[in-house]
Amino acid sequence: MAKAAKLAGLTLLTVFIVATSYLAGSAAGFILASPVMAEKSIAPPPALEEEFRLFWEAWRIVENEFYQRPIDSKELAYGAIRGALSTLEDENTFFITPERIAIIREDLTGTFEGIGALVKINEDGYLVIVEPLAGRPADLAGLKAGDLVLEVDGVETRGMNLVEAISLIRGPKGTTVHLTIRRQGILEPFEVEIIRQRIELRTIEYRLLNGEIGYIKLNEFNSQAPRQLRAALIDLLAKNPRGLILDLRDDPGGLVTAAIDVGNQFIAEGVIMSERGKDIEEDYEAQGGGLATEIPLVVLVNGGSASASEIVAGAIQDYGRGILIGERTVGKGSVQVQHELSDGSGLRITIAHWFTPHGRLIEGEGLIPDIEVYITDEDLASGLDPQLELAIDYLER
Amino acid sequence: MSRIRIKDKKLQRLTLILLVSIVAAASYLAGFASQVIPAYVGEVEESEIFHPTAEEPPEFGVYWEAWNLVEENFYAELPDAQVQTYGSIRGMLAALGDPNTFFIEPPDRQIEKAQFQGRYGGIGAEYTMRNGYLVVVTPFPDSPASRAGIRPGDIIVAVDGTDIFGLSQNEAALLIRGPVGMKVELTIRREGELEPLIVQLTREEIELPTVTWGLKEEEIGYVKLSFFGGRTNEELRHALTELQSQGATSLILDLRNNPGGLIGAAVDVASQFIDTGVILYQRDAQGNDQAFPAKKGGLATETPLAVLVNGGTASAAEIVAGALSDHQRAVIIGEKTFGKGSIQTVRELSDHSSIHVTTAHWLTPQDHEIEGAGLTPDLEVPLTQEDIDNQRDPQLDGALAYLRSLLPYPVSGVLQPVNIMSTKRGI
Repeated sequence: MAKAAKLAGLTLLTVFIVATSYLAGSAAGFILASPVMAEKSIAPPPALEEEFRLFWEAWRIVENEFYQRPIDSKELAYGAIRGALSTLEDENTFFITPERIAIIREDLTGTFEGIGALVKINEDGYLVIVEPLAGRPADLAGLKAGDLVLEVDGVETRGMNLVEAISLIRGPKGTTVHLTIRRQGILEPFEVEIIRQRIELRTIEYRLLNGEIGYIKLNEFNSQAPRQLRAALIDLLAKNPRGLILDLRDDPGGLVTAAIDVGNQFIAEGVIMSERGKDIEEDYEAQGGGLATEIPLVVLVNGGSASASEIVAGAIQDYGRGILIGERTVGKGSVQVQHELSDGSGLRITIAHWFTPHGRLIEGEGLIPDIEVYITDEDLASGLDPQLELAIDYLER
Repeated sequence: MSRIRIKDKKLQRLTLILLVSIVAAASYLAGFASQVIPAYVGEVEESEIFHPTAEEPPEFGVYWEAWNLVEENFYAELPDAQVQTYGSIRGMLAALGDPNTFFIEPPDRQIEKAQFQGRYGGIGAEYTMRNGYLVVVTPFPDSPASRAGIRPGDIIVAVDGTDIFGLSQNEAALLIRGPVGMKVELTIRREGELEPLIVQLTREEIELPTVTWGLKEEEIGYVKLSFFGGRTNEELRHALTELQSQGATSLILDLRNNPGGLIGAAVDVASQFIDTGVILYQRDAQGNDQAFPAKKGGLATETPLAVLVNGGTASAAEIVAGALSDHQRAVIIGEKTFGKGSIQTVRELSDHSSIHVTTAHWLTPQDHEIEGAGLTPDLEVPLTQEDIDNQRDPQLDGALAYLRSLLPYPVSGVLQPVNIMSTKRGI
């Protein structure tokens, strides 16, 4: 178990963040634990001083001779940090500029000021609307899933990373943002003007299907998820359903604490997930008192289910608590801690791997559903959901 | 910030090389030229080394804050200090957003140096990397490699007993290179031979020729420059002297696919054709211009001249073409040039790595910026895939036709006439 003193604090606020982060909320594939230490040293480690002379030779040359002026020392320092982190060869360990920190923080609370749409960067590097949230400004302005956002206030978005693009679109409520949109079937790109509002993401949606199956869709594991899940379960279980469907498709993850809490609702006892790192050995156990530890359960997963989703689905699969239907998951098996640095920038560091109750490391592998079912483009076009259909069939049998 | 002088003389002398850089992919000489050939001029300048333990800029504190957190928290093993330092230098340079400013590790630096100097101690063979081993493409005539019976297709699997699998092309090449007169033992696999062959060779000074030349027609000389290295001007002067003695009265200077090289070599080369005036202006970060005038003693300052260029003509090669064009000294034929008008300084750091830093832009004698723009030929002649497949060279044909049209008497067998007047001008 843990080297306890240090780790107690470390795991208090454990967060996942998204690989495919969303304009709206967020998601993705890592797990963040909050930093423990308050003190941060800005002194070079003595072991590095000698070797680092070379860096200062290079710095000095740039300062004296580089053609373009002015030279921003802060940007150079940020670049050096990025370069140093790149030598760790871990894509989940990275530097975060102060502007991006704000976006990430908003994502984890599930509320922000913007236009109310989920977006991602597609394979061609375009910013694409995944879903306009019903009744929110983007939807009211007529944006549709699949629309490409070519420009935001005249700034081209192609080639930007998701957070950069998001930070352009988000802004204080009441202000206006101009989007240049390309839509399939329309030759010329067109402009859309949208007034930003306060957006609260629906963390959870739920309903009773066929009068006998409880269906809960968890969009992300933010700080509101545990409370909203409890409410949904209490409401649905009062109707005595035959079974439950927990839909974790396209749920990119979120807070570790939320993952453990959600897992705890379905698993009566045992370890939900274990973390193993350099100085970390931590098992998260079910606390008992879960609301839905007995009822027949199907978990829907797909290639967008990551990190926190995989923790919950992995534990349910390992214990045979329910079956997984859908497609292979992302395979995000590492845990990060996020630190804020003294100048407001941030640093995310991989501190551990996490393992399922049966000791599986899913990094790069993902979870393979007990029943694999794919959704084809034709299904999508005709509004069919064979994964959900199968889950219902399974529970009704 | 305090500066201190390092006592070690070696450290004190940092090599300063001004370079007009371009990255060229080329094939490589055994042991020898690098995949990345920027273009340059070498000058050596004294320089002090900044001492790191002196005050760091306050903005840099965040770096150590970040790295200390990594040391404390990162789950896997940390890279060694050198890897981290190199990575930090790369990241810092990347933050400048200039693709021509970059870092070169010591092994590549040695190869780069040899490229500029145009000579090295080696075995004299062109090779390529295949499946983790070096494959000989051609042994140079009369080189240690050819005298030892090394053949095209031979696979070099070990150098002095060290298996080279897993090494980069440059790393493997550096093992083969070494001081002139020193022996090197190669383990070679050859098709048809069951056992590996062990070959001992004595390294010799291998020169990388950068100039090839010949008479194209009775009175038209042809000179091709593949790179602007430290010996290029000497080679060119030899070629011009020979061609003139063979009766050449006009010249074709082929700068196609020439990625550039040392600025000094560009000035020297241009000075063979231009007797007076400015070859280029160099504009520094403060907007100050420095003129590089033509040097006296050019061998072909009056000879009618056609210059061949294409999209692979860059930096130092564009300096020469731009100067010849602005001085109306030559007709420029071919395709639009690359447009590399920035100048890099190559500085060697104390561990023999180097950084290339963009320090200036250069402009043609008539003040045209080349960076991003390139030179548009007087006579635009494309070279199509069909031409290549059929071994045709309409650009060369155009140059020949142009020069023939200048000859004081008719020449038999003239190809299609080329209308020089219909072509574009200017850059």
